[in-house]
Amino acid sequence: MHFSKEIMKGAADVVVLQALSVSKAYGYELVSRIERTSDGIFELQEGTIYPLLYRLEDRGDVVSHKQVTPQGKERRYYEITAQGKKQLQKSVKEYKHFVTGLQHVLNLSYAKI
Amino acid sequence: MQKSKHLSLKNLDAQLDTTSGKHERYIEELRAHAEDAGGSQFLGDQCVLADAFSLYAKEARQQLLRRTALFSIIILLISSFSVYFFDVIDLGVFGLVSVVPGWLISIPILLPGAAIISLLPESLSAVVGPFLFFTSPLVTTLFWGAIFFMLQSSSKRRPQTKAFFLAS
Repeated sequence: MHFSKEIMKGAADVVVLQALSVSKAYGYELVSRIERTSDGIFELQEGTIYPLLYRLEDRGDVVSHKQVTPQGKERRYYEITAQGKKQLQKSVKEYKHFVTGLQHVLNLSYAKI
Repeated sequence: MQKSKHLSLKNLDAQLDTTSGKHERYIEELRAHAEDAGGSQFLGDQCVLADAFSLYAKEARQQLLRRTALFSIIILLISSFSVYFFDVIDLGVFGLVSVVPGWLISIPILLPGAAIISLLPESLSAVVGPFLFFTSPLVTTLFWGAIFFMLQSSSKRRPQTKAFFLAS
């Protein structure tokens, strides 16, 4: 499913950091992991994932290095840093609070209808 | 590919914008992504376009540097002529035509220079004045060359401008 850019803008950082907190991954692997763990709800395009990873890297939340995959191909792996983990914890807390509030509001709207 | 070429190029242009400074790495990862995705036709097309864009960007950068160099040489010749041959030129109509352009383009350098010299003590201005005067063609060339380069590279209407910065 595709979400509007506005909705995905803030959430994508958290989604990617959370997926990387499991283990390091290269671009395609990361996209597949996110798609699988979100039951197909988040399908990040290559035009989204790489600019986002570069931004996170510039911010110091992830680091990257080239490594050969078990299939023998050289890929650039991304790994979450200690700073990224801190940022993730903070963001997850904020998002959980945000989602709780959103659910309350949406339920309220349905109740009125 | 033809059908989606324009759209792909537009998308790619936007993506390269967001990966500023890392576009070669982005192209490399895009290629790997296409391979991992089982040779996706769309991603394959993107890679072809990206390669073409990259080559175009390099060519555009060279073109901009060539133009700036040519422009600077012309400015250097005109301003040098006015400064170094001023004393030997007969200031008739043709003489004026040959030196006035040099004077005009040297105004942004010579006027502030003259103002600064007038503020200096006489003993110092006697030394600094001729030095500034004789080096003014070089300063004028650097001044106009820099302006030319900035105008050429900041114009949003010139596609090679964007390519230049993407390639650097």
